[in-house]
Amino acid sequence: MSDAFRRLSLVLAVALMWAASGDTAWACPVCFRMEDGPVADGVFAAVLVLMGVTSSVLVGFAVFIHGFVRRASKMEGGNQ
Amino acid sequence: MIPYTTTARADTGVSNVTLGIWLFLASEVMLFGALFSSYALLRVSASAWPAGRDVLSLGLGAANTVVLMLMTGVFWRARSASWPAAQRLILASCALALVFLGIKTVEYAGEIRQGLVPSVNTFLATYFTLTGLHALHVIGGLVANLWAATGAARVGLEMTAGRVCALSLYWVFVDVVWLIIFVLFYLS
Repeated sequence: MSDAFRRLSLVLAVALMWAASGDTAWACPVCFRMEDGPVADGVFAAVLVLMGVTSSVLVGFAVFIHGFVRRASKMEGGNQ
Repeated sequence: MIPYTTTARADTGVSNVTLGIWLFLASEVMLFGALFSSYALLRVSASAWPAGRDVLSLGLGAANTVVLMLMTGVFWRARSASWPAAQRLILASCALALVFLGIKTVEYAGEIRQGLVPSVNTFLATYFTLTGLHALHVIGGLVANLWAATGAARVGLEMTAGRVCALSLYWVFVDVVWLIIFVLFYLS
């Protein structure tokens, strides 16, 4: 294990302990306990848009990678 | 090290340039996606949202839409044209990109003269952020166009064809982003 990795692990462990030691749960002050209203609708719309964009990119990557796999197996079949 | 090839690779089915531009465009989609998500949050949660056609110049916006579409069309023609003609088409698309930026500057100047600046309301703040970032992409594409048009003598036609192919995909992305901006700000 390298020194840098050991130091990073130590920093992460301290950060985790610090985060776990708090007795107050932190929540987003914008939408905490907010069930209705325009801000809640706005947050919902924003999450929906971002999820849509992210999902489209991820599906695109999946299709791209699937194409690579299919092409690679075809090439392998051709070589045998 | 990734070899600098211009032909499609047997394992990926595309050239390294094409693969690179697709990865770049994926990151761009995430960038604009985050901004459109912020727009959705602000718009839906706003108590009042002005109608774009009452605040902005629909005529200038529509003119810019036509110019940008035309520019991309001209650039796509350059993909299949032989070199001297392709270079002329790329330079023509550069001129159209300049026209787009000119119209946008006129539009911005008019809005600022009327006191319509980003600090006035959320609509204008998001409008200037999104159209400003889009204009920066047009400037970036314009620089890349000039780089492709003048680079053939240095790097050869085969490599330039790869650059033109990648740039054409970039311009389609810039068009799609503009169309979304146009619908969200000017038409709705």
